[in-house]
Amino acid sequence: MERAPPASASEVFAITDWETVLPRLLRAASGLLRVLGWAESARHRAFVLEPTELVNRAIDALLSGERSWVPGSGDSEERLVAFLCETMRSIAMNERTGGAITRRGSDDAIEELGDEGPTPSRDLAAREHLARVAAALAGDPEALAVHRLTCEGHTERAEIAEALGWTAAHVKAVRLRASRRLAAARLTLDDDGGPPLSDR
Amino acid sequence: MTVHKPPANDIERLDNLLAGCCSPDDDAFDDEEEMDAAAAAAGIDYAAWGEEIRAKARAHLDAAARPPEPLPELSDHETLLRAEVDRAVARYQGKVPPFMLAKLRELAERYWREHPQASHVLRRMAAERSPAISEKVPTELGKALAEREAESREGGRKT
Repeated sequence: MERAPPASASEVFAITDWETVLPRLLRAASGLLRVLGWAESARHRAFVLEPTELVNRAIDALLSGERSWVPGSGDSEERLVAFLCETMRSIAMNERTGGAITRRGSDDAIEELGDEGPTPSRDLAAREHLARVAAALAGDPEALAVHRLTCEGHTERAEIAEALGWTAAHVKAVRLRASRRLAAARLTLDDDGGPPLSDR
Repeated sequence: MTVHKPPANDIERLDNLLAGCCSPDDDAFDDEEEMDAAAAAAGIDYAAWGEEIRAKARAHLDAAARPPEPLPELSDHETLLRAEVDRAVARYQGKVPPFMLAKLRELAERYWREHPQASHVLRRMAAERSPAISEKVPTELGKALAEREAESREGGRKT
């Protein structure tokens, strides 16, 4: 009789080849945290996460049921990594919102941030964050081109390569350059659009 | 490849940027060597970390496979309260994530314990069921009532 495929996060995680998956997750977590301005050595803000912490939080949240496991997400290594990346993005975004609530400390802010819908202030904050990323990449036209395409929803390497007429390897090199620039720029993408508290 | 959906505003553009930066494409580091060096510098041991995760997952599986421990005998009040909480959350079973279900249980329990009318109703319901208990465990009041009943059966009051 054929064995049923693993259905829950626990079943999948108990047999996952983590030695292969963890480095991929760490890379993704590092990339995310660099854009959020929470890259390594940014510990001066209380809500900052380290890449290893973010990976562990995603795994723990799925094991405990705090985050819902989507059946089929463990069918292949690619799907598992993609799903865990999505979970990490969601956790990081929640952390960012929580950090903004703590800093503002007003009931209005809590109400506004609790509402997931777009508001003029959220849109403005996002616009300012995007402008700050663009400014950090200003000296690199190729990185800027990739940044613009990514913002417009072309998030995969193959899509960007096709749109710009580059090879996938070249896109990877440009993205890597951009990621390093962002890490060096120590951006902050706080919800209130301001610089880190320590710089105020 | 995913279907391209143009963003409607800058919030969605920012979401796209984050999705692009946290993907299985692995573009945050040059190659495995650079990543391995960064991991080694941070003291990360993938084999140990992986085994830790597998152990946690196995612990969850073991806990799920164990038969539930028998519940301690509850007082009438607690039994009724538990039944009301179960009834309140039953409609959400399987429709909302477990953490939300736990929160709903907590809120329902607080309602039945703390709301003046709800807790009054629960106490009344428990009181209606209490004769069965007083037969088993005679209280001081129960003993006094039983004595008076016995006296009246014997043919009248002693003066």
